[in-house]
Amino acid sequence: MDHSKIKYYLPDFLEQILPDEEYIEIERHINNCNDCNEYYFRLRGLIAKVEELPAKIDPPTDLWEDLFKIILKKKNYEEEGGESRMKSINEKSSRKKGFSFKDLFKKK
Amino acid sequence: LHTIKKEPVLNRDNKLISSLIENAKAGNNSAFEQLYRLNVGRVYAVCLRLFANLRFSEETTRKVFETVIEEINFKRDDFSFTGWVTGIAVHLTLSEMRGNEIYKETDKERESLRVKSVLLSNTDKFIVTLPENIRVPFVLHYIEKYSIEETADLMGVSQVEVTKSIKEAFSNLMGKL
Repeated sequence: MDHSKIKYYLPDFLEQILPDEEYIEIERHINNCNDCNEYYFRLRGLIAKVEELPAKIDPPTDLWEDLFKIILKKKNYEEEGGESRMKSINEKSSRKKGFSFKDLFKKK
Repeated sequence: LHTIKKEPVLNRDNKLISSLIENAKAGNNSAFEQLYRLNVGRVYAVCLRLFANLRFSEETTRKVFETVIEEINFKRDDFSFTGWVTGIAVHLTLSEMRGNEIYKETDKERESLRVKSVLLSNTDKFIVTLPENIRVPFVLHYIEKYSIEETADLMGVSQVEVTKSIKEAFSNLMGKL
């Protein structure tokens, strides 16, 4: 593998998703090539920064008041015998395989 | 040499959250409010990093909690509350990105610069200015910890395409950070 290919596969190397042969080849290369070794450490630094990103970002406005109105509406609706939106969620989830939106909810 | 191992995601709620969920299901508004306050930042972060658009991130955050209000009785027990609302946020955001004509027509570059101006982390500032086609798989895989397979499935593209986009995102970010 040349230098550009080594750099291309470094994210896969760090994620340990390469076949053993390629993993060993890259490991050897970055131990012997200053340029790729430096790139490897910069990439690790970048991934570390991404891992450290805050899990939360506060929205500029407080949405609670609007949501509270929705809760009150829902209560009134249910008291009048209305049904939940589960039907529309089932319709929205058109994906046939993999993890779909409706998989987030219990079956009704 | 060290490789990177991802942390397992917790899928159980602690006693406080479980009790808030039960009270919210029983119609306790204060419990709902606490669940909202504990999770709104998490939901907004997901929407903002995927959308790179202030208006749509706020609107979708609102829609996520509307869904929570409507469907809390159907929350699966094997998901933590935060994991559950995050999942709803990811699905609703991707659905809006695919189907909302107004969003599709927005000037994405200009919007991402507006988002950049409100973010605190330099890494975030660079991520939101990545083109959408490489930013979304990067955020889903590297920040939200979806596997390559799950990311491909969520986006409706091949795993090869996801891997290629993520590498492009890295190469783009390496030039900036």
